[in-house]
Amino acid sequence: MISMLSNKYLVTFCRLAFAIIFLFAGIEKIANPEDFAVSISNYKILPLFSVNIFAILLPWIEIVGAILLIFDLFVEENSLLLNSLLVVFTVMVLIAVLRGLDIDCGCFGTKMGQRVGLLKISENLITIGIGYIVYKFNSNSIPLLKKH
Amino acid sequence: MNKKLKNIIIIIVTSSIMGISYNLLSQNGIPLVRVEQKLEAAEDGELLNTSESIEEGTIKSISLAQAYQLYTTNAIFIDARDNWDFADGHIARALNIPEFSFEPSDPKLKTIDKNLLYVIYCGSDDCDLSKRLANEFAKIGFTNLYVFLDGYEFWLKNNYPVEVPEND
Repeated sequence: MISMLSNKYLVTFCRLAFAIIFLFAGIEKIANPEDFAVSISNYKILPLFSVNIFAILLPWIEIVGAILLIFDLFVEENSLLLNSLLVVFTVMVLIAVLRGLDIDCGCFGTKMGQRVGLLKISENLITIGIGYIVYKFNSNSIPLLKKH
Repeated sequence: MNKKLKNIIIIIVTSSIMGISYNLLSQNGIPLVRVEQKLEAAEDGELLNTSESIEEGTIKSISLAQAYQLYTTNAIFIDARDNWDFADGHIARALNIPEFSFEPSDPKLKTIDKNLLYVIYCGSDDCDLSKRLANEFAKIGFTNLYVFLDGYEFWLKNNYPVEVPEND
């Protein structure tokens, strides 16, 4: 099983897929920061005054992390950082579901209109799994840039 | 400090600087601190008065009783929630114009008279979709707008007319 998960083509695919997911998520949110701020406030977890700063910073962490991952730079750090964010997002979605909130998850901005729910949690868990493969087996990944 | 943690902090700080800088320069930039918009409550006597213009920040809120009074005078109710929430149930005769996908150029807006009386609402008093949609309406020339802050849930709880799917 471990040898299968550490296959260099699989790890490379996971690294690029993981990066592209965050890249698109970040770009959508940067395009409409107000919409993303509203999505965050709909979760009713963070105090209202702090919502905008998260809406401004989170997409850039996603984009910078994703770009560094694509270019195979600081892979362990970025996969750990992005996976940690994803765990937090998943817990927020779970809390929203448990509280009976039927809201847009804001995961890829608001234009894509994904709802919080078990489907979203399942998607996130799969993505966390992909992120874990990247973190754990990155030494087998094929770099995009040739390292000297 | 652990090298990995140090790198993570550098990535977060760099991203944060980029985010704040972009937000300052972007046309879509938002304030760093979010402040809740407070609306002044409308007086009973002024409800049916027509005004020639309304500006963002001068839109007034109405109570449940006032909302029902306007409902009986055929004011147009606008539901600012998304289409899923709207499909789950809404104030009878309401139109759905979701705030999150609002576009001033929406063809639906061209078919409605901007001088009629509009009441905008969302789910409950802790959502602010209605306030934000009302601001958007004011910007494009709607002159008679009120926000029903207590929203659909309070309306439903008080047994005022609603439209819900038949299987509910």
